[in-house]
Order: sequence, then structure tokens, then C-alpha cells
Amino acid sequence: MLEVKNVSYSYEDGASRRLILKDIDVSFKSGTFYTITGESGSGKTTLLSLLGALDRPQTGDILFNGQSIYDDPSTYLSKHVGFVFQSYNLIDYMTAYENVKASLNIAKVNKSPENIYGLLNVLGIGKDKADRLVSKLSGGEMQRVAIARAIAKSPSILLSDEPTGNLDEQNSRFVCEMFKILAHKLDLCVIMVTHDLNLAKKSDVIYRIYLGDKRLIHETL
Amino acid sequence: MKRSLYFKRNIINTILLVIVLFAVLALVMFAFVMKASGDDLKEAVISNYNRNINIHGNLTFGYFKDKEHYDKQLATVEEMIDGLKELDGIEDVAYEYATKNGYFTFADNIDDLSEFEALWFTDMFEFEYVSLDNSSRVNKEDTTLFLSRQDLSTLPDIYNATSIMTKEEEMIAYKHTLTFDYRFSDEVNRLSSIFTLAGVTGDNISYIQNGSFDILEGRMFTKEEIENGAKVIILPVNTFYIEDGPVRNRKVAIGDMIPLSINDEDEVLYTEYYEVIGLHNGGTCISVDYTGELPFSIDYKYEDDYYDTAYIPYKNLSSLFEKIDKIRSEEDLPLINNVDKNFERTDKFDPSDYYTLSDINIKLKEDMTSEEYYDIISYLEKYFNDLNKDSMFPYMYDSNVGSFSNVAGSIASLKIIFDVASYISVIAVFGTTFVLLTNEFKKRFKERAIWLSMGEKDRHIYKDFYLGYFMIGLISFGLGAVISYILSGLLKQNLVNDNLANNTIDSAVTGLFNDYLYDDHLWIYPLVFVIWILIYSLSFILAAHFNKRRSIKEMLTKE
Repeated sequence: MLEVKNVSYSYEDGASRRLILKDIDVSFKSGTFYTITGESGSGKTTLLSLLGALDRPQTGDILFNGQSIYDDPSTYLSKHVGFVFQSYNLIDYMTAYENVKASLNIAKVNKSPENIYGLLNVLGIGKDKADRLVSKLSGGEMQRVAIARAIAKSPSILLSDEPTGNLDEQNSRFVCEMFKILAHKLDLCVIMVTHDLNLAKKSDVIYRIYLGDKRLIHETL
Repeated sequence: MKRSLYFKRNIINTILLVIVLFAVLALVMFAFVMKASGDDLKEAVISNYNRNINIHGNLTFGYFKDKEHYDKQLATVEEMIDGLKELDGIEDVAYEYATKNGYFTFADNIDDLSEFEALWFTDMFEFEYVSLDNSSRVNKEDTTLFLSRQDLSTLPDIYNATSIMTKEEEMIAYKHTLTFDYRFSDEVNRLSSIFTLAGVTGDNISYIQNGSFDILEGRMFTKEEIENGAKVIILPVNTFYIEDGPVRNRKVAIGDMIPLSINDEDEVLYTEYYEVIGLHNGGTCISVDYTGELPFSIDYKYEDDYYDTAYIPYKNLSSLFEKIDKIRSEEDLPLINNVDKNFERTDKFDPSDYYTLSDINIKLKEDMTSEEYYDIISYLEKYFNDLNKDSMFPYMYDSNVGSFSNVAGSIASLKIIFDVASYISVIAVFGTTFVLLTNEFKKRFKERAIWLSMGEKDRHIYKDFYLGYFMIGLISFGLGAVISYILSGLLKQNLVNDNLANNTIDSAVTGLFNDYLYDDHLWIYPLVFVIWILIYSLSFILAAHFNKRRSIKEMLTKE
């Protein structure tokens, strides 16, 4: 479903270019929970931003269902990709409900308020909290809202960058379980970046980027 | 659609943003106005004094060395007034008194103490100053400046020079005013006398020829005539008092001999014949004249008409000075001394000391632009600065409000305030705008990355963001404009008017509209608006463009 073909990425660092990723070739399938691990600075987040069309590689291409994601990144992002970040990245002047609704509006997906409140409720955000500004919610609650926002539009891919980084153990466990469910029950392709190997063990497939090598290596733990 | 919620939900921040922005803008506009109308303001300060100086009968300012100086002079005046009130028939008599410190004049009702007092203050301007008649400027009519002879030559468009007083040889005219005071004399039933003589010296007549005093026919005096005296005379075509002058009426021509009837010291008329060598078109500006009653008199007589304006060589006049001095010393000195004692004059009356003050009229064309006008009056600048000199009398008494103030200090303070306010404004504008926009936009750019990650199109984000900031810019501009408008109006009102306490905000605003709405500075407002919007839109779009990757990175930053 999502194919990374010979992707290399570097950026200008003063006069020279710094290579971050080299000749990445990998395929991600639906119904699978992937984790990408590696040391800090190894390029995990960079790869995720490439998969989410937030950045472009210097060489190679990334295909979604056989079409380059860079042909129409807005449609790709709005309809097929959901993002969950470590720092939640919710719109802080909106309520939880409005955050989800805004995402649906961009994707041009119609869902009734009851559906949205229902989704939030499933994720542990009751109606009273759903109508609060997200800045008034706890970290775990914000991450649940972020997950709701990401999956409300029924995307094919869920990209997540250290989603448990700011969460306690209970919330971290919830997020991982939720990702598993999304992959296995809703047939999503879930790709999570994490440096936590224990967390990575809960995924179906683990990839690792080594700092020196800059390639994506399949790992079996 | 929901992005507009940013301003609504962050209402306090938004209000703060507007307040800071409009305060900054008000400061900018204030600086603009101050800079652009700096000349106006300075001129307003100067003209304010002059307006009070020049209006006859309503003169209010006197300048003194210190409070003690003022008190002494005032006490003397009051004493004089008491003495004058005992005399009958003094009203409506023109009176002049000349001293080294000035002279006072009154013509109306001396029972009005304030008026008399004001008149006394009228000519106590011993510093070199320049004044500018504000009302004349508005009406584009003549503007009266008081300049030294040296500065006279630097002004480009002089058309009339009057009352030039000097003893310097190169000067072209000499005016000698003597006043004999008989107020305390029981023997003499005259109240005052004025004896004014004037002549022409030197061979440089270009000053006169630059102005209204032109030799229409004939010639000026020769050097020999000036130095040795000669029975020659230059007459005006028109005189001040005789509407249709004798020259024109009686067809006086160059070469004619005209009789001048002159009173000798025994008041016996004798006649001398003078040859007319020139005709000029001057008025009363440079003249030989006599009014009043003295034991002696000089009447220039042609048939039955009296000429009050004529030129005779300086040398001829000098002999008359000697006669005057002689009579003065023999007959009138005790009386003069009596007055002198009251005034405690330490100086000697010497008209030749009056070489610095002259009246100059600047020729203003009917269609003269403000810029051209400012070019001419830019000569005022140095005089304005002169007000700060220690040599002047720094204290001013304003009899309208009865206040006594340090003029030099306040004007110097105003200048400093203008300058500092202008510079601070500019620094504050750049600094505050930079900090404010940097912080604000940084926050919004991160939000933009979040919207991008949700698949929103860049142009939609820009549109919503830009509209929001445009509205804030618009509101802050409106508020800033109004505030700065009123502030600068109040300031100018304060400068121009004598007493701000008597003015309401309404009058300040009205004055402001009068001052600026029809003024050349009106262009500032749309200009500032355009600059303001440009700063907003360009800075946002450019910053957004160059910060796309950074804002995405920031969004991905782990906290």
C-alpha cells in the first residue's frame, strides 16, 4: 500500500550536506502495526515526515497505492493519513470536538455530532470534556483527542511520532493497545516511531535505523 | 473557517495585540507628524510670541533679566501711571518714550492699567529676536520679521525695509528718534513731542533699490553731498498723509527748487530752498519728519502743503542734532532727569545703539507654496536657537494670564522633547514591531504546520490568517490614527494657545482639523496606513514562506 522506493534524504548543514537517510526501500501494508526505532538523531522522525508528505526526499519516491504521495499531498494527507504526535499538536484554541470536526471538514467527510462525540467517548473523552478547550485537558486526554482526530476520517495510514513520550504508563499502554486494534480490527497501516524497544515489541514489524548506517533494517526481537 | 476562532478565543491576547499595535502606530504617526511639522511647531511657538508682540494695544510680553528686574520696572510704570492720571487731556494723545531699554506708547485710554502696562512691555525686547506674524502667514500677506542689518542682506525677497537704525557708516539710512517728556512740567502745556530725523549715508543703495523705495526719477545723493551737506532733496511721489502727493499734483520735477520752512530754536520760521534731485516711490519708511510741538521745529513746506517725508543729506541733519542737544541740555534736561531718575536708567540715550533692530517685510507671492514659504522663514531657525542664549532676558511676563515664566528654558525643553520623542518613537516602532511580530508569527506558523499535517491547503491557511491580522491591523490603525490625531492636536494647541486650561478636547480636535486637515501633511495618514499594511502582509507572507520547514520541524519537536 505504501512503498518507499530508494529514498535518500539530506539537508544543508552550513557549507556541506548532511545525509540522514540512505537508499531506503521498504513497503508498508494495511492491517499491520509497524514501529521504527533507532537512536536519537538517526532519522526516524525524518522518515515519518517523508511518509506523511510533510517533506520531500532528494532522491527516490514514496508511492501510495501506486501513486506518488507528492502528486497531491493535500488530498493524501487529508483523506488517507492521520497523524499522532508526541506533543499532541492540537489546535489549542479549539475544543476537543472542534479539533476532530476541523479534521473532518478538511477531509470533506460528513459525520454527525453524535458520531464525533461517540468516537471521543470510546477513547475516554466524555461529552463534558469534549466541549472543553483542549488546553484544559490532561496530557493523556489530549493524546486521546489527537488519536480521535487522526482516525475520525477513516484514514488508511496512521503515522505516529513517539506518541507515548509524554504519557504515563497507563496511557502509554492504552495508546499501544489502541494502535493494535486500529491495525488489526480496522485494517489500518499504523506506523509508529519510538525509541522504546519494549513498546516496539508490541508491534507486528520492527524496523531500525542505525545512526551510522542510515538504512532501514528489519529487526526481529 | 475555524481559524478565525484564534482571535475570538484568545480575546485578551488579541486585545493586547491591538493595544500594543495601535500604541506603536500612534507613536509612529506622532513621530511622523512631529518630524513633518517640526517647522510648523517651532514656528507656532515663535509666532505665538509675535502675535502678542505685534498687535498694537494688546501687547503682553516683556522680557526681563529676572524677577527683581521685572518688579522694579512694573513699580516704575505704576508710579508713572499714577502721575499721568492726575493730568487732564492725556487720553488719545500719541505718546512715545525712548530709552535704551525701549519705549512705550499708548494711544487710547490710560485708565486701563493692563493696557498701559502691556504697552510698556511692548518694546522691552532687548535680545535679538525674530518674530513671525501667524495671522499674516495664514492670509499669505506680508510677514514682519525683525532682523539685524547683517541678516537683512541674506534674505532673498525683501521688498520693504523700515526703521533701520544704525550709526555704522555703510548703512544706508539713519533714523534718530527723540522724545521729550513734559508730563511733569507745569510750564509746558504739551504732553509729548516726537522729533524724528532720518537721512541717507554711504554709497550702497542696493538695499533700498531692492525694495519699494526706488528712485523713480533723478538720482540719489552723491558721496560729497552726504559728507558735506547740500541743499538738495529727494521727494516721494506720494506721501503718507497726503493722499495725492504734491509731486504728482503740482508736477514737481527734477531740478525744481522747493522752499522748506524750518523753525529755528526760537520758533521763528525761516526758509531754505532745496533743489529736487530725485523722486522716489517710498512711503514713510525712510523719512525726515516731525510731529508734535517743540520749541523748535522743522517743516518741509512746498507752497501750502507740508511734506512729512523727504530726504535730505545726512550732513544737513547733523547740524539739527546739535541744535536739539543744545536745547535739551539747556531747557529740558531737568525734566528729563526727573523721569530718568524714576526709571533708574543707567544708560545714556544714544540712538546709535539701535543698530540691531530693523523691520523687514518679506515679499510673499500670492501663489507661494508652503515649501517656498518655509525656505524663506528658515532664517528663523537660528533666531529660535538664539532664544537659548544666556545673553537674552530669559524671563517672560504675560499680562494676559498674569504669569511669569522662563521662556528660554521652556523653549529649550520643548525642542528636546520634540527631538527625543521623535527618536524614541522610531526606535520603539522598529523594536516593538519586531518583537511582537516575531513572537506572534512563530506561534501561528506552528499552528500552520498542524493544519498542513491535517491536509489543509496552504492558500486556505494564508487567507484565514491574513484576514485576521488584516482586521487587527485595521483596528489598530484606526485607533492609532485617532489617538495620534488628538495627541498631536492637543500638543499643538498647547503650544499655540496661551492657556490650555481654557481649551476643551473639542476645541483641540477642531484646532487639529483646522491645522492638519487642510494642511500639507494630510498625505501622512494614507501613507502610514499603506506602510502599516505592507509591514503586516509582507512580513507575514515572507516569514511564512521562509519558515515552512522550520515550523513543521517545530511541530514535530518532542517536548
